Amino acid sequence: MEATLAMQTKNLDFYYGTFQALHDVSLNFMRSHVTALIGPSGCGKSTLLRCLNRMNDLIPETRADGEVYFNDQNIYTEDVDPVEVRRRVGMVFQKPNPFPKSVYENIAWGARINGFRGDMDELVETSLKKCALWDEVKDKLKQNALELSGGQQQRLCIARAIAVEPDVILMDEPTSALDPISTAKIEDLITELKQRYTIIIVTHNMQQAGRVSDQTAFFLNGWIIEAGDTKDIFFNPREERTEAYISGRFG
Amino acid sequence: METRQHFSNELHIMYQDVLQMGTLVEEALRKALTAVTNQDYDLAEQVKQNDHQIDTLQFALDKRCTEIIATEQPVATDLREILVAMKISSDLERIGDHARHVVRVMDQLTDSVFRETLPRFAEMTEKGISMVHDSITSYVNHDPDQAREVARRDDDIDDMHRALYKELLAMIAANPDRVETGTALVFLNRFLERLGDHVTNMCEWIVYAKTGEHVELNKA
Amino acid sequence: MNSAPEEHITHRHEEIMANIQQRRIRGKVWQALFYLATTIAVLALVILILNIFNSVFGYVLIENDVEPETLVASGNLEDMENRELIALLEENLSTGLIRRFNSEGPLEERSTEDLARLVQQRIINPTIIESWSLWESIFEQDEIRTTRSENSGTVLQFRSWLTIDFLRSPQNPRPQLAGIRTAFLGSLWMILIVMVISFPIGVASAIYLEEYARADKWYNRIIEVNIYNLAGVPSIIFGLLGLAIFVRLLGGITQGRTIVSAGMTLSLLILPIIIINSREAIKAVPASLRESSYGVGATKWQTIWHHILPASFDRILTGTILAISRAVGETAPLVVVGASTFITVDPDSIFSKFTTLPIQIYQWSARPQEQFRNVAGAAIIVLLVLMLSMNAAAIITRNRIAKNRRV
Repeated sequence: MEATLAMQTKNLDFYYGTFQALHDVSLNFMRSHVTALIGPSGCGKSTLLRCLNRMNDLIPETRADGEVYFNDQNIYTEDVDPVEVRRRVGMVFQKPNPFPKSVYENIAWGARINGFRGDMDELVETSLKKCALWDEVKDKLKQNALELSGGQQQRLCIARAIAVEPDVILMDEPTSALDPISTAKIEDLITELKQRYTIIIVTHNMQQAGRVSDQTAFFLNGWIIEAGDTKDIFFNPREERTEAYISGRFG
Repeated sequence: METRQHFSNELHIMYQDVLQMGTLVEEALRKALTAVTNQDYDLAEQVKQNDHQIDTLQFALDKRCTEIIATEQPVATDLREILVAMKISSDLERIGDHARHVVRVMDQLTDSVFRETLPRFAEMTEKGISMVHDSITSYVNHDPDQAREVARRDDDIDDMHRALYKELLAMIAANPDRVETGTALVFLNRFLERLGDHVTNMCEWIVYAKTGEHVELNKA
Repeated sequence: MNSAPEEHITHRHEEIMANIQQRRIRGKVWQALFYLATTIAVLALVILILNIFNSVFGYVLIENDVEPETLVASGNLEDMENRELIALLEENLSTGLIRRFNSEGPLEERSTEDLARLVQQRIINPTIIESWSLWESIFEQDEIRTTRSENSGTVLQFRSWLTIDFLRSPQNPRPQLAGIRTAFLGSLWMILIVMVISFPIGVASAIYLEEYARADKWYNRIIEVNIYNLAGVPSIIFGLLGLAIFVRLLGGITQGRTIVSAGMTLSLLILPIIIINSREAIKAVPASLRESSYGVGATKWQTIWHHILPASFDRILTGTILAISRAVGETAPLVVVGASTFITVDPDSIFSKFTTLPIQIYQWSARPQEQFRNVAGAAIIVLLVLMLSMNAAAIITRNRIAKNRRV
């Protein structure tokens, strides 16, 4: 079975003002795979993630040089609307941030503004079921989402992301604010979801990257040091710096 | 200050344990050889008792390795080194058993007919002891090349084993009333050849620890 | 052998306790200062309110042209029949006056109350000769009685200057008949106009500045600086501005010194405050909310309308209501723009001449008659109640909205 590319970056440089945060990043993201981006703080992994859905456009004085391909189309061109990109490439953030609306509305709103005309109740139920949240909240759909627990909120955010039917889901340290059980539930969810979506996850947690991802890319100071199958990287990395990082010999 | 100081300390202790086990095994083999050469039954008894010590050390080493894996989540090279430590410990324990086999056939080796084979056995044992020593050294020094070299020495032991085997068969044929003694010595020959194989096995794992590749160093 | 560590522990304990004591004492000093400051403030407030109340309640010495007892035995005009009252009116008042009353509403169809009031006003015609403050009324009763006995034919009455009639009556040169109706309605119209103009413009400007304007563009920076400066400009300058532009320049549209001119002037006055406050409210919306909205593919406007505005609305509303209640209390700019000094007709459109509560209070306090101080005091109470209600509305609204949104 041949894996196709869902997204790809080619020679991507990224600047915050005059500071270069990414250097010549070329990375492939396989469809229906989970790719983990790891590296010490400030290495550029979150920056790269936010380039993939043009979220960095919201920050003033930033510049991207190079290409980012989504389904073989460069999303950093004039005629591409970032709003469309963000619909096809969804995002889940580090701190769970559901809208201060009801659980139902959280999922329905995104779908509605993107022109969804079908059965909203069904969409909400399906999305929540896919995130293993339905049973826990089916009686609380009208309740304010902020009353849910942290783990539930994060799963709700994932459900919200998939309700608009993206192709790719970006996750920026999605479990770093959660307890181990919620973390485990979300990791299971990621493994479930990758059948339908391509997932790219930034994580600080080495073991999580090992548990959850198929491919891993190791970043350092804005450079990719090594990228490849997770099993290879964790069993026998090619680069000394990779080995030092994943063994925790520097952080 | 290196990070994961605790982890480093634990690994250091693990290597010490392996070294110590190696030392105990070498000592056992040497003592066995001396006991046989000098007909020292007290020493022979010591060898049998000390085997218990080797077994205890193996359990402790395995336990320590398991604990490190559980608590430190090692990956890549660290993980391989720890797994190899466990593999080596089981090989070393078997080698320790061979020392017992040597003293068990003490009487037979002093038999008038078979006495002349003693120097050959001594040589094989010495070779084995040095192989054990050097392989452990290559492990703690993370030196796969040395490990490979040690593995090659197994050929010598194999050659000696083959020659001795033919000789023993001839001796048994010539002295049919000494079959029991002869057979015991054939077994001993076998054990010493196996010792070499065990060390070669260890060397394969030592190469694996460093490179992640599994190599075949045993000749068929 | 164990005493050394024990001593050490005890010593540590003493050290720590001494340090804690010290910090506690410092805290207590500050606490005392804060209490003192609060007490002074509360005291000042209480004195102010008592002062006002002082002038609103008290004894008055009334002289009637005609004693009510001569008209009806009980002294209560409402005990009389309607036709008796009408007869009285027609006897004593000029035909012109009767005609005017009839045009406002035929006398035959009026209620007893109404007729009695007219008789009271026109025939009995009480004049207040002397009035005393509440303090004087309580503590200087002898003096009051002396004054009363010096003036025969007068009635001593304990009166509250804040009555329903006071609220219902328009201006009047005589203090006991003066009311704040025109002024109160003027203030209400003002609130309406100011709200309609300044709220949308203010909030929209804040949205533009905060969400759309790029901070590095020079014109945006000029706008920002100007807004912050304007918030500190004295209000009378706005009055002059309003005079020049709304009354004179645009006189054709605004019809000169009308409510709409005044309303627009006050709107300009509080616009910078509303913009600044709204901006702060919008700034306070956490970035995570914006990001999560953009993350599902929302446009900028969708994010603003569905997420940012609802999240900041309570603060925007509170700030706006507070700014408007400030506008309600403005006097100087309205004087310049031309609030009428004497007006008895209710405003009926935005192009009416007008007066407002603060202006009325100011004018009454400037009158020579003593009794106008009492009337001014009553008007002050009405103004205070109005402003308190607005502030209370602001707080309640904010709490209600905040409760529904954030958990």
